[in-house]
Amino acid sequence: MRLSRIIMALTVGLAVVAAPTAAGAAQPQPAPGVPQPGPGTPQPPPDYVPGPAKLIAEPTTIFLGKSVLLTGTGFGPNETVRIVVTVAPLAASVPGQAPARRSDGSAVAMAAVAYAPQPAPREFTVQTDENGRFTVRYRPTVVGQLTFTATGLESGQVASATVTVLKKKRAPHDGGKLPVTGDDMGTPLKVGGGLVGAGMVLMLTTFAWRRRNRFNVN
Amino acid sequence: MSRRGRRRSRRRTRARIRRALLAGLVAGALLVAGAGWVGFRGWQARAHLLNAAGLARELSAQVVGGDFDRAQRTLAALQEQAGAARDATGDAGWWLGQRTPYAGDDLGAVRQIAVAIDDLARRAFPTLLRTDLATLLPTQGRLDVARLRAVSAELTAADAAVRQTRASLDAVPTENLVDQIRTALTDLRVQIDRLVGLTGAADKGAKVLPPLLGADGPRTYLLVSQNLAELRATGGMFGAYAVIRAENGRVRMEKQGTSAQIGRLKRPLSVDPEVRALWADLPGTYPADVNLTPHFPTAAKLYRDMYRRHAGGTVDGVLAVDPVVLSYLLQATGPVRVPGGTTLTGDRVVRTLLSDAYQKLDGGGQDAFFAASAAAVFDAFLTKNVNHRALLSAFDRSITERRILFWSARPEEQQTLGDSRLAGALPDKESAPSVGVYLNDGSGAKLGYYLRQSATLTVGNCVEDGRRELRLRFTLHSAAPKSGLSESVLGLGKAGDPYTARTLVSVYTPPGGAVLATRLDGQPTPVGSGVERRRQVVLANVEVRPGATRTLEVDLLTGRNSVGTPELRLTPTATPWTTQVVTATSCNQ
Repeated sequence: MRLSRIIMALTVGLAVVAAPTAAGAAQPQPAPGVPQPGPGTPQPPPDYVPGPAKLIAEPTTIFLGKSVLLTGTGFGPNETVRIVVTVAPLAASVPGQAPARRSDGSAVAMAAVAYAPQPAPREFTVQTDENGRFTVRYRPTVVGQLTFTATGLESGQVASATVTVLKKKRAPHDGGKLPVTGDDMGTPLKVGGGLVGAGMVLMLTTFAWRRRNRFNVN
Repeated sequence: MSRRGRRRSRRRTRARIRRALLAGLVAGALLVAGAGWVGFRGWQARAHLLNAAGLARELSAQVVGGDFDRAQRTLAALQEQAGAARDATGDAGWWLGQRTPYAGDDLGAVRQIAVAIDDLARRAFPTLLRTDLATLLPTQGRLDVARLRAVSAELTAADAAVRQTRASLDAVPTENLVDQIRTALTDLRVQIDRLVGLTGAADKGAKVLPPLLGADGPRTYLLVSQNLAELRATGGMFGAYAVIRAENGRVRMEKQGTSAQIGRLKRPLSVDPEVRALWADLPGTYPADVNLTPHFPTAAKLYRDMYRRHAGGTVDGVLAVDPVVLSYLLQATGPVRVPGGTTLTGDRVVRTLLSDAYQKLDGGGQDAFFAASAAAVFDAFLTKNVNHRALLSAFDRSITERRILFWSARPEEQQTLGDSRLAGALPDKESAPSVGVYLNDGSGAKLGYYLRQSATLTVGNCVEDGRRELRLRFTLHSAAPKSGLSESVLGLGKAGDPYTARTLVSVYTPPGGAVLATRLDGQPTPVGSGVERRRQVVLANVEVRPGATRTLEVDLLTGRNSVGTPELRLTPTATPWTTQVVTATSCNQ
């Protein structure tokens, strides 16, 4: 008996009537786009087709101490873009483990704070070029999941990107070398083997010495 | 001492020795006989238990194969063997043996194993075997709710019996046991845990089903069909919908409509902040975009709210199906003739609905064809004599492939569905790490039908914090022709060239994981990024020309202290995926 089999009855029951709609799967889709912007709206609403990301963070995971390159596109030409950085702790949001909250209900991000003489800003602005594009480098000073939200102050265009900042360790992708895990047993094995070998040589020498002495006595 | 006295004393000593020897001999003989008896009974019990294990395997195969007559006979034999094993370990000799040092633990464990198997054979298996799967299927569009409730009571009893057996087996200590017995005990525990999972699920399912089918008052649901020609994370765009009403086991369709009729919401619905960061307001604005997220409950809830804004009615849940489900069902019913000449068959229906209709008919013609097909299939289900077993396996396959998804607006019912495939939820914690590869069409076209996709997940090195490296290799091939497609298929052509399919590929790490690098055809590629349900998400734009293949490689890290073989979670598509998981030994070895 499987849950799927049992609950199947529901699906069977419903699917008797479901089949027709499945046949209708290919109904014409929502009239693609050409939404009429209302008078006074700053930007026409986007059509229903999702597009490629407008804020790119490279790379998506870094080790503390490295920096990330943010590239924004699709903003207004020569526009001021405000970037807000929010930090979520890496180990948080485990189910059943509620985040710490302030009295007004807002969540407190509890991130491990690393030593840094000048903490990286949590809010800053950048200027786009004539194509509505900007790039900016950001060096996080905390470990955690950093979400960058860029808002065009005139266009209202909003885009986000999330970067994972891990504790400073040998980075798996810095130089393509992976960290070696487990203990290095080579040296202890060599020393031990050498000692055993030396012991055996000494013992054999002792035997030979005794035997020769015995012959001498005889 | 006189000589006589000495002789008497010697004789007395000898007699004492003789008596002691005799007593020793008798005691020794009794001990050997006792041990021999326990050993003999143990050997008998072992033979009975081995027979029982073989019969249990046979029984499970017969139940799955639907051979109920033979299964009944196998069950009788199983009960006989389990009873004999219980008897063999239940006599006074065995009882004494359990109290001896060293061997006592082992004998006690064997006794518990025999009792557990006997209990299952007498109290749980007969109920499970009696449960007639046909009870779960409607006849003439109606499901017998009263009968289902009766089955539910029996399942509850069986579930309780299995749980009780597990509890008594859990109390048996495994330390100091002989290897063979310990292995047998551990194996049995694993099997019983599985059985508890099944009986628990069956019990819950049978309890939740009657209210879902309107036994406690009428229910209405939105039945949506996912259009696999225009991909979305859970399958395809929600194209058409029907409102269905369930009352006392009887299900009927009330009205039909399309997402296009709901249209764009002027005031977008509020969207979960994580989903909004990835897709902006699209999921709360367009019914076609509610399932840009792979988490079906989110999509279903948004669609329900959109329908409420549009039509004013509040439904109790959302059920999603796709044309591939229809193809499996048609294999059970046989071909269905649509007035106007077309015949829908199991092996061609996906092509008929997702390609031919767009290619050969104009907008009005498509509507008429879909409506006629719907009516014909509906009619066939009600009038044709459908093989129950074939129908059940069609549904089983559809649910396994995540092509039938259900969400209930009632939290307690939704909780019952839990992490089952039917719920379509993206879990935020899991026993084995899973990597999600979800596809969303970015061309605004119906080219999804022509896409062929494959994914290979390779387990890599162990790194700090118990994390593990994973490498995903995803390829997307377009089998679309270079010319000759209709305007309906080519749609908006957002990739520039209308024959180029633009697919936004979202890769989800396991919970707590991270994406290290992303390459398209070997070159680093810019990706969007975000987080959903504790998983880091990257969003790559993959554009494929007709006949071409693109390869996306993603290097990932699992969450901390990850164990278990990783698995893939994928968007169900019109053409099945080719997948492979290359495993490696555990980090602890």
